[in-house]
Amino acid sequence: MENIWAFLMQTLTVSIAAAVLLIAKRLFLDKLSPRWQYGVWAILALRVLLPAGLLGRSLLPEGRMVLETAKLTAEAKLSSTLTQPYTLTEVTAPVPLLRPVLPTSITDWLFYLYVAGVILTLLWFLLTYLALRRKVAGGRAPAPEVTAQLERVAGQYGLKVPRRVVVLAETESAFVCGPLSPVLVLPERAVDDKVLLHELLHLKYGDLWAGVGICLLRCLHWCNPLLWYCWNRAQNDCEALCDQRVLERLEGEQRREYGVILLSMADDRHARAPGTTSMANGGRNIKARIGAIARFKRYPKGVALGAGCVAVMLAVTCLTGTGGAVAVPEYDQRGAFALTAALLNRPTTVAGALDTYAKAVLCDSPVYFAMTAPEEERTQAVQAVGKPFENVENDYLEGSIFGKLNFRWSRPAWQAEWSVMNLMADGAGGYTGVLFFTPFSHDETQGLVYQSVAIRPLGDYWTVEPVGELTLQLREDWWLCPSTDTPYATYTAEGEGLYLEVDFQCRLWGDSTVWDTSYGSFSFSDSGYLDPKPLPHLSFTQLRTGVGARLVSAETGEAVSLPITVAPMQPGEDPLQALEENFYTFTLNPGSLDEDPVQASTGITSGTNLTLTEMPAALAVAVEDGDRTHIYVALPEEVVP
Amino acid sequence: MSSTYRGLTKIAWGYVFLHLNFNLNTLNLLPNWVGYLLFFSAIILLGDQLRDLPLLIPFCILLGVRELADWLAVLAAGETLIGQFFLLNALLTCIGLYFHFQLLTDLAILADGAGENGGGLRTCRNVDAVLRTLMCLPLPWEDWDTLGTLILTGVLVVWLIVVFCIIWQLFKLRKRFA
Repeated sequence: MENIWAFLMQTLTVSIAAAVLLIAKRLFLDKLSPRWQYGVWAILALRVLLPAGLLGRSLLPEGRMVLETAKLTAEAKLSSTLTQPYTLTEVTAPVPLLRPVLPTSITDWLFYLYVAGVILTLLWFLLTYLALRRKVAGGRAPAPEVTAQLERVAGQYGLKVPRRVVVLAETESAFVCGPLSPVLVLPERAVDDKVLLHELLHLKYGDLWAGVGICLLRCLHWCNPLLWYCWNRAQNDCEALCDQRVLERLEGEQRREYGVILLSMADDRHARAPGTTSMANGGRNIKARIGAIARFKRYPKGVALGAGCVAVMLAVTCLTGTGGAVAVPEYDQRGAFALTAALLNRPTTVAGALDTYAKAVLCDSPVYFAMTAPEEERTQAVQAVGKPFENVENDYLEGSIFGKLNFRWSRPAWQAEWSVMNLMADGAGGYTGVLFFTPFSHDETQGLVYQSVAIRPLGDYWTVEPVGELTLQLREDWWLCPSTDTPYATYTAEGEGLYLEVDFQCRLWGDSTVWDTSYGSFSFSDSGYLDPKPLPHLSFTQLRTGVGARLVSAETGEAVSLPITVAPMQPGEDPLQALEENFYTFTLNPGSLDEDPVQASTGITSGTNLTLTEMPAALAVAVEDGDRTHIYVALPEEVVP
Repeated sequence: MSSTYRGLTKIAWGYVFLHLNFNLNTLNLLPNWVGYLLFFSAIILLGDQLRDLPLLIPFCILLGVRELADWLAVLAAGETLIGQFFLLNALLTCIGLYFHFQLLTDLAILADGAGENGGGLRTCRNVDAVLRTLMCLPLPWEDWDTLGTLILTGVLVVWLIVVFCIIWQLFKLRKRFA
């Protein structure tokens, strides 16, 4: 947690988990045993220790939406050192991480206040414990008959006697103190065997350590009263479980007597200190424990597996949450909520980023631009989303590049399909490519529109930055691939007296068209329209490739006609293996394309499991020369934009 | 006819309503809430003989209301309602798991008492609980392709067998009380 918003997100998530557990515990109060009632608090402890929003999952996506909107609204007016206003809140660790910088805003100060609270609560617990240890150190050794009683009880139930036992005048009931070197503290008055058994059982089951853990968790969320209430309940459940363990070891009348002892403690002062366990833990808690004792024999038997399965389901719910996201905003939504929804729906795939950007262009929607905007353009995008929506449709239609080419307009978007060509790795983890907007097949337009773009990773997301302007191209047909009029890359290789050039072209797109099919008596017709909502997690599902090769003699430059096979490969990969194993292997046939002599191949692949989703870094080429096969590695020489 | 006979018959038919679905478009013609109505009626009939069974009444009502709400939502809007509320759905799933586990535990006790072997019902109960839990785990079934499909198919087949066994054993058990 590096800022106040990360803490708020963490404490909100933990609070929701706590509420779920409290409801579940209430529902199963008389149905599942104290073991289960105490054990489920481990889920809350784990939830506190797991960063909220891990793996993009959330317990309540709407809660996160409200928090992010509040952050955006507040931080836009501040200049906080610890918080970036237009980035999503991330919880990197469940503990506060302090950077040595001076606070510059109210939210920075609040975070420092929270950190100070953690340290002070921790100190307070530590000092309280040290004060108690000091008091215990002043206790006197118990009388021999008390020691004998203790040894008898421990021997009877197979328990260990702690190394140190002291009698303290000012204590009202027995308790155990100190997880590392436990001390059993007894009051002046005589102590019943069952009370001793209770404390010895605490020692046996390591309840002191659980108490220390709870103290640390209290410190992390010191200002969350719901969690304080939960941890109080957890400690009371620990005592109730210990009561259960005692009752399991007692019989008949002894059980009733144990209940009477508990009743006698109902008016005792609650004096819990960190690192201790005490049978007397306050009147209200004791009443709840007496209720649990009354149910001791009534808990249904033989349901351990069922109880375990319910606990697993609760753990899965509270720890993993739901992957369900906030809905993608509408194109005309504006304001802080729209911006938050945009930021929470940033594209997670390259195809998703291109789909979102394409729809931003086709709908002219600032909120969609904000979803793909790179860091440096985020402020500009945010300001655009902040302005109220104005319906200036007529002006917009007349001025749009799509209007000039007579594209079909169907509110809210120009009706066009997008695809990307020459999607090449830029060497820095991103890609460059040319985004094409083409009309639907039945539409009558006079051309197409394209734009060069750079797609870059930003954390877990992808951004799109336009590299050039939207450009129109007047043409009667819009056959993009294979075509020498559209972008392609040329790969070259030389050897064995031959010089080889391979033009490689690849066009990629995803399914974002909605098809309407209507059936007549003897015919059917279908028409497509654009789904205007961005699909930020889209995958490429369509691939069209075009490959053309020219083979010439290195000495004379004359064309050579030999069979050629081409396969994409990674640098350093064995070209022979690439040719044998790659799914996308192209066997070239003489003729076609635009140049002569040339060998060519085209193909189209569909499906969600495309493995060729960018231009290859290199090509493995096999040339059959009689009974010999020459293997080449062709590298990109020229990229035609 | 004894109340035990009638109670067992209702529970057996309750399971039939719960697991057998005849759909007209998306609408279930054998609604699950009828199953819980039968369970509720059976719990009242068997409550005197099985000490823990009345503890299930609030759960039975909650699950019945959930199924009714979903059924009405499908009728009105074509899709279920409760699934849209993640946390509520999760709590009701826990309740459903416990309800069936406890119900079958009690029925196994009833079978033991009647001289039948309750072990079969207990085995079905355990397998049912484990499969319900398994299906709630956020495992990437879709990403596992063939393996995921195989596991899911296997789970569904086993579940179908378990449900069939439960219904068959309940009908067999009720004969003892005819």
